[in-house]
This record gives sequence, C-alpha cells and structure tokens, in this order.
Amino acid sequence: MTPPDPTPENSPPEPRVPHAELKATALLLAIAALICAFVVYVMAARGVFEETQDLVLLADDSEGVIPGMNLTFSGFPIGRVRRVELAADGTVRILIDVLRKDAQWLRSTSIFTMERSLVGETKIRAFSGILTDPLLPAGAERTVLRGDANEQIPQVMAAMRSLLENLQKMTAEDSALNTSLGGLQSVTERMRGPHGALAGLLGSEDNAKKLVSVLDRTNSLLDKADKRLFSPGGVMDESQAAITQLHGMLREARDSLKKVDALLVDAQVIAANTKGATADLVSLRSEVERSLRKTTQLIEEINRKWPFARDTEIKLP
Amino acid sequence: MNESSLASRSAHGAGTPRLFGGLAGAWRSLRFSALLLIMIASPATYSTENRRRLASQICLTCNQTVPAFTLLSALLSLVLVHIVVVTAQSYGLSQFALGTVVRVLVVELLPLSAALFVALRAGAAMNAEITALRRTQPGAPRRVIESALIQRIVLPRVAGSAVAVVLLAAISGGLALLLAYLGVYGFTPWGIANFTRTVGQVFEPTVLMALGLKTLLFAIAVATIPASAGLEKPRRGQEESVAVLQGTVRLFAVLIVIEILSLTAEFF
Repeated sequence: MTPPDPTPENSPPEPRVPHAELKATALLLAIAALICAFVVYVMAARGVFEETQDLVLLADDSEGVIPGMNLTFSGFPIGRVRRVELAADGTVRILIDVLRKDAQWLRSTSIFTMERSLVGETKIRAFSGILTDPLLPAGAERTVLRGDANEQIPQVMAAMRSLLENLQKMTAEDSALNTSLGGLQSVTERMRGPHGALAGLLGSEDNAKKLVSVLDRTNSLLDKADKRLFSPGGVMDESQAAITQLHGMLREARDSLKKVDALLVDAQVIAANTKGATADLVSLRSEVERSLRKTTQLIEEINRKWPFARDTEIKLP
Repeated sequence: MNESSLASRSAHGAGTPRLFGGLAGAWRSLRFSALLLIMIASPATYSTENRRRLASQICLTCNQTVPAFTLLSALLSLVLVHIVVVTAQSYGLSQFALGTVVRVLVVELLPLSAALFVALRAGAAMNAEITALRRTQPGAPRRVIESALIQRIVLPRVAGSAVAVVLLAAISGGLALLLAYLGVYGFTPWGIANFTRTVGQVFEPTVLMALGLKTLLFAIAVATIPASAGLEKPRRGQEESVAVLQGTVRLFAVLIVIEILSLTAEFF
C-alpha cells in the first residue's frame, strides 16, 4: 500500500500574503520598537536619567516607607525614596534621591515630616519656611518628624471610654440629669395650668394668684401716684414753679458774684500797692539800723573815754 | 526526537487514571513546546519557502486578531478606567485611581485577555486546519502526516500566534495607558509629569520583569499547547474534536497558572 502524499497539493491551499516577509519584518521591528520605547519610558519615569542628590532622613520607624515613594514639597514630588535601611544604632535611615533641579526648595532649615493616615499610603513631606536660607547640602542627614494617625487611636479610645462612662452616669436612674429632667417635667406640667409659666416659676397656683393680686394693687397704686404727680396743681406743677424761682435766685447770685469779682480786683490793686510800700519800709529799716549802729558805736566810744571809763581789769584775791 | 515519536508513545490504556493521563498530556505538551522552540531557533527552519510561510502566517494572524482586539481592549479599558476613576473620586481616593488602573489593566488584565483572544481566534483555527488535513488523508501513516503538518502548518502558526500575543499585549497596553491618562486628566498636557511619575511607581523592576516574562510565557503557551493537542493521537473511541477541546482546557489551565505565578512574584 502506497502512503498518500503529504504534499501541498493534497492539503488545503495556503493563504498568500503579498510582500509577506517585508510586512512581517516591519511588524517585528514595530513590536521591538514599542517594547523598547516602553522600557525607556518606564526608566525615565523612575528617574534613571535624572540628576539627583542624596538626602538621608532618620526615623525611628520605617513602617509604610517603601522604595519608590515620593518626597513632596507643597504637594509636588521632588524626590523619591531609593532605599530604607536599619542603622547600627537602631534608627531607620531613609535614603532619598532629590532631583537636582528641585533641590532649590530644600534649605538648611527645612523640616521633614512623615505622615501616616488611616487610609492611603505614608507621605513624606518637606517644609521650607525661609527660602533665603542656605541650600541643603548633598548627603545631608535630617531627622524626620512623625505624625501618625494610628498612634492617636488609643488616646481617642480612652477619651471615648471616659465619655461613654460619663454618658452612662448621666443617663443612670438616679443621675443628676434624670433628676433635673424630672424637675423640668413637673415645672412644665405646672406651666400647663391656668396661670401658665407663672405657676411653673413660683411653684403653685396660689403663689401665682398672690403675684397677680400684687400686680393689680401695684397698678392701682401707680394710677393714684400718676394723678397725684401729674394732675393740674399736682407735685410736678409745684416743682416746676420752684425750679423757676430757683432760676431767678441763681441769676441774682451771679450778679452778686460779679460785684465780688470787681471788689477782688480792687483788693488786688491794694495788695500791689502795699507790696511797694513794704519795699520802701525795708530801705527805711536798713537806714534806721545803720543810724542805730552808729549811735551804738558812739556810746561805746564815750564809755571808753574818761570819766566814763570803767575798770575792767579783774583782780584775783 | 520529533512530535510523531512523542505522539506514538501517548497511547493510554482504558484503565489509566485520569490524573496520570492529564499529567502525561501536560508532559507531552511541554516537550512538544520545547521541540517547537528549538525548531524556531534553528537556522534550518528559515529556508526560503519556510520563511515565506512564517511571514505569511505572522501577517495573517496579526491581521485577524489586531483590529478586533484593539477595539475590544479599548472599550474594556474605557469602561474600567471610568469605573475606577468615578469610584475612587466618590471615596475621596482619586490619587490612587491612576495607579490602580495602570496596574489592573496594563499589568494584569490585558496580557491575559490578549492570550485568551489569540488562543480562541488563532488556536481554534489551527486545530480546525489540522483536523481537516487529517480527514483529507485518512489512510496516511501518522508520523508522515505529522512531519508535514509541523513543517507546513504548525510552525508558521505557532510563530504567528506567539507574535500576535506579544503585539496585542503591547498595543492594548499602550492604548490603555493613553485612555487612562485621558480618563484621569482629560485632554490637557499638564498631567503628563504626574502620569509619568505614577507609571514609574507602578512599574517597579520586579513588575516590569514579571510583565515581560508573563507575556512571553503566554505567547509560548498560546502558540504551542493548541498545536500539541491537535497533533495528539486521539484515545480509543475519542473524537479528534474532543482532544482539541482538552487542549484548550489545558491551555486555559496553563494560562491561569502563569497568571498566579506572576501575581505571586509581584506581590509576595
């Protein structure tokens, strides 16, 4: 038995593509170019072709920090974590590549923070308060400040627990709040009576009635006082007449004071004159004193002369 | 050793456990795939006639798959990008939308979709052609027919399928990146820097290598497993179409295993 011929004429016809080799070569080259372009793009995206400078951040915990995460300044990524390592002293060293063109935003006084939120990734941020400070040198080491929302959960839970305990105390049967609410309820019940809020405030209907009667009496008293004060010939009219008289008296007093003023002016002139006379008296007095001194000298001279001279010698016994 | 000798050893006894049968089939597929790869790498394969056949099949397979898959992947990307962006915005997590879209679409979904599409479109066609050729020559010895099949039909189609998987993955990935950019930033050039940075963060060296390796393994699996199944000798009382179906199932299993291995390498 002769086996059938497995040649093309016994098989289905093969499809013919014009310029197949050329097209296939172009296709393969296009695929290779596409893949190479993508790889180059990813390398560029990962910063392989960018100039960078080193920055080392020191932290006490590296949780959430992964290579490739961003260092941001004002929300813009300016660097990328290259490596996270544990130092010999137990601290965490986060090695960051800062883009050379963005290194101007980092100054010697810049602050670095690492924030961990409940949702989302950890964020490393840089803050430069004074942009005129010297630039941060390459390879600088800075301590990163940590802000961890998770760390505050125990504090929040403790506060929440105390809050709940307080709430439980407040809502207990014998709590002050319940007692107050009971009192408030009785007050509101009293306020629903005929005297309304007045009975609620004063404690009973009787007290409210008394207050109402007091008010009535006060009203009648006010009526009487009104008549007494403001009726024709009342106290107010008399007071007005008295005030008019008082005005006249004041006017007279003002005139009298003017006269006193004139007298005082005269007295001032007299006093000035007296002052001048006093000055003359001083010169007179000095002349009198001078004459008395001369007289005294004359008497002493006469006393020294004989026969008025006295024996002034003292003889001892 | 060629596939005909491999296939001649593949007789299964009626009492062979199914598990061992499956493992033996997987082993045969693996050896056949290795054989095909060696043949593709061999300079003797690239004679003038074979080169023409290879080029024709590459063009035909790409021509059959690229337009439809590009359209479908664009649609899928558009829908997924919109869903992820809107959902992320509603939860106030819009800064993660772009990374999620790029990771899910470009790294995970689209290469797998490309492999499945080529497997269904080109793999099924290849199996149908092999079956038709066998029916035209019912009395021919299996070894002779399979040698001719490998030379004339299988090898060019294997190359075409492999190239098509890589091409589809590349085109759909690029298109998904473009649609993701437009979906997140709109028609403005001012988001390019952020977009590039996010892409750089997603495509770590490990992820990039896993993506490349995964796509390559997808291409090899999609190209060789259907051919291996089509050339297998059917079991006693088994239709050839059933063997082809088993090959498709085996292909899907292999694709899933590759995907799981890729995910393991990326995330663990």
